[in-house]
Amino acid sequence: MILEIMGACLVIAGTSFFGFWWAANYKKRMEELGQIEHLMHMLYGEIKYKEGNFSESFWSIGNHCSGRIQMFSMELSRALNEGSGHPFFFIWADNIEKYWRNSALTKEDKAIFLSVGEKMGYLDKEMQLNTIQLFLTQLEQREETLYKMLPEKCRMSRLIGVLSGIFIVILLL
Amino acid sequence: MNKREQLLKIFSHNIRGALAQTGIDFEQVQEIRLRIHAPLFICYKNKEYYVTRDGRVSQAEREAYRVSREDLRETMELIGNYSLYAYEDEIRQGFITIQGGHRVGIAGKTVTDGDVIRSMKYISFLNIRLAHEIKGCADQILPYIMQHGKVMQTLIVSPPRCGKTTLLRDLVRQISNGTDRTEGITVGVVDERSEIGACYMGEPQNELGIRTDVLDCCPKAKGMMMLIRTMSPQVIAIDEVGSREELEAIEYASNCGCKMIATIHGSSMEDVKQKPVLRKMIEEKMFERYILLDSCGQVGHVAGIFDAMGNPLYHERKDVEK
Repeated sequence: MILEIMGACLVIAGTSFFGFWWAANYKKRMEELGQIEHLMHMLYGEIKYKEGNFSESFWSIGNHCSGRIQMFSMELSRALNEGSGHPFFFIWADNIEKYWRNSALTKEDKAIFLSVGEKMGYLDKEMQLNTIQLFLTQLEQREETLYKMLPEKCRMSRLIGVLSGIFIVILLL
Repeated sequence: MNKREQLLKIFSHNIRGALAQTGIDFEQVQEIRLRIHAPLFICYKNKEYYVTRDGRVSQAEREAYRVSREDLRETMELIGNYSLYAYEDEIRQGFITIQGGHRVGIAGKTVTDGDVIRSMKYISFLNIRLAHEIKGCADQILPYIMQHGKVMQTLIVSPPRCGKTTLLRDLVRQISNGTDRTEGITVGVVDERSEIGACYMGEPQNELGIRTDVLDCCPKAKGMMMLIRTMSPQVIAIDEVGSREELEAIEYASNCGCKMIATIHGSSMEDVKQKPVLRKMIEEKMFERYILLDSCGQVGHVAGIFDAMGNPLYHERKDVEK
């Protein structure tokens, strides 16, 4: 009997943990979207006011940020400066894959982030700024949607976690 | 990063491969020329060669590597560090300065708005001119333009490709650092086309001395005024003066107590006097020294040094008066 109770508690704890983790993941996604928004705002400013090239701009951003954004910016700057001969999009995509592999971003979030790289690096300053502006608009829409649904989604995730544990326990008993 | 690495990284994959295999000494390369559907040229040890597909330098055109539109597109992307938008002003002027101070001349179809060049598209011709610093090339000239530790107002007159910028650069370096005989002097350089200091990300790639301030990519006339007001230089160096506005700025700077060292295109003193504003300045003895270069024998050959009155102080490597 004691073993059964212990087993039931473990199952409920396990599924609850999963539910809470899932809820935390939504918050993490929100944070990461915010970080990307911050990165792109800084890039917009670097291009508009400093008129530096991407390598200089990302290096400067890296010096003013921390964590994942800092590593991404610094590494991107280094790779661009290296002159490997690969197109800009290749280097951009490679770095996104490297630094956002284990992130809470959804596939669509990543796809939008990746697509910015396709339109960068050619034509004039206006084109670069418009591309960033368009991306920021898309990003803000996603953040807004997520922000509105965040309390509900977190609550649901936690609830499903706990209830699924109880449901499994009932089934097993 | 050495000159070879600096240069190879700006070329498209195919051209980079061919150039890397040549095994030539990049210190001896003067120019590399890319023209659409034309052979890849290299000017090496003052002689023009074709670069072959298998990475040799040859004089047989049929073996030459032909530059494609894709090569040019890729090369431009790398020259602009994937950020051609950041080089709009430079492209409008027809050149980009890259790391190492090398200059890439650009030609294609210009997009104009009235008389103003807005941009350039279909970039189909590139000329990569390698920067060469010749330290010590001004040793011979320096004693003639310095008197009692002060620099004299100097005009260097030279036809194109005779080494006037190289000479000016070394003069700036030596005046700024000081020599065994002279103390260092504060020098301001207005480097409108990044030819003197070859600044890359604000850092001069050529050595200009420890007391030199550089105003990069700034119109010469405005730059001279800015330097006088902000950096109080004792000497201002500028390359290729010519417009009325620039010559008037020289006059203004001279009246402020600054000494000028300037260069101008011309094959003789008579040639220079044809320019109305300059003729007036020469007549008013605005310049105390004239250094005339020519291409006889070797680049940077000094044909003559004259004082304000036009008297020769030095002529064809034979001292008249020192």
